Amino acid sequence: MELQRDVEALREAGINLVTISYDSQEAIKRFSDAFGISFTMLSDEGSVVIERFNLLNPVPQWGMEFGVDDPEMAETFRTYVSVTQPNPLFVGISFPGTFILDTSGVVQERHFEDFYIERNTIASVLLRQGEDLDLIEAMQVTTPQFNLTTYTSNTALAFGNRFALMFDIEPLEDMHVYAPGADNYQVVSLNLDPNPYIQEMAMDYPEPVDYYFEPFDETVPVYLQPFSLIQELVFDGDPSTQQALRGQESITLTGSLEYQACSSTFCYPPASIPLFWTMELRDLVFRRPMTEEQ
Amino acid sequence: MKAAATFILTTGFLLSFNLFAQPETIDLSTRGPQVGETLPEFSLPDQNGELWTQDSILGENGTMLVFLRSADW
Repeated sequence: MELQRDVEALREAGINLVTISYDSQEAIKRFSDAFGISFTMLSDEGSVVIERFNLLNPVPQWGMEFGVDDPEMAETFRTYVSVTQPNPLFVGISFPGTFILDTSGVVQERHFEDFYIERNTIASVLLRQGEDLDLIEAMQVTTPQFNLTTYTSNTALAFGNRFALMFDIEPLEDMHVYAPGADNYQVVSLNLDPNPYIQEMAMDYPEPVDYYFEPFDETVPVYLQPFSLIQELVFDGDPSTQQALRGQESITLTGSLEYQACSSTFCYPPASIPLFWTMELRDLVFRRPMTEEQ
Repeated sequence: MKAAATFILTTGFLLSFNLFAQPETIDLSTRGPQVGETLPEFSLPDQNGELWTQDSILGENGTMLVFLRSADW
């Protein structure tokens, strides 16, 4: 189970991992024993707390009451519940949300996935939190203006995973890299080649600084110090994608980092660095323990 | 006339069916505690029967609280 695989990284970062679901304590105990779970799994049988959090998913109940003959309802049911038919078993589930809390219990980040098997991997959340993960193979590129290290948050992907491409950029001495808002320059950005199974989220940029460029007598937003860009992506969880990629062992993303960088006296033209990232494909992260199919 | 009436009836039926079929639009942005808010109070048992609250789950450097649909299926 993916959460368990990454729990050590969280623990070392001093972050508690806790799950809440509507399962009975016995069901959670069974699951926990079957998969050797060491983090805290809370049982909210009856979904009282899930409802108090305003996270109770009403769609399973709608499915039971109204059926899924109506195309709009069928799509809603498929998105928020299951590709299978309505079943009383689903009533009481929560929306799959992840909340990052600080030490006082104040919500720092929230992540929600529309599609039911899309979920953040712990690695991508840690990357967003600024924790170093010493487990990913990285690609390093040196340009006349900066050093680039790029890697993925996950060495392996499951269908529906949310993951991230990471770019650590260290400008060389006296160099600056153009940031969003530098309208007359090529802002540093990722140009990911289209992949039918990958959905791009918005690039997460750090706050730039205002820089006075004397030759042109202008002030522009730039990065002068080492900075990181995080491109979050979602690997499609649709059954048709799973079908299409059946038997495939890895997925490779290709693209380029577009940028423009200058020194205090000389401005280089816009440039492009071709890049690729390969991740293994693996099965769905959640399996039913001890069922007849296995 | 009969055809028109049938059309109106059918349309009315479809409209009412749609209204009933999907009582509201799902908007996840309004669901759950927002950034800057604290959690509602709770006390829930874990897999070993130990009770946890919104305060006792907090880690040294924070907490990742994940709502799962189900661990069992």
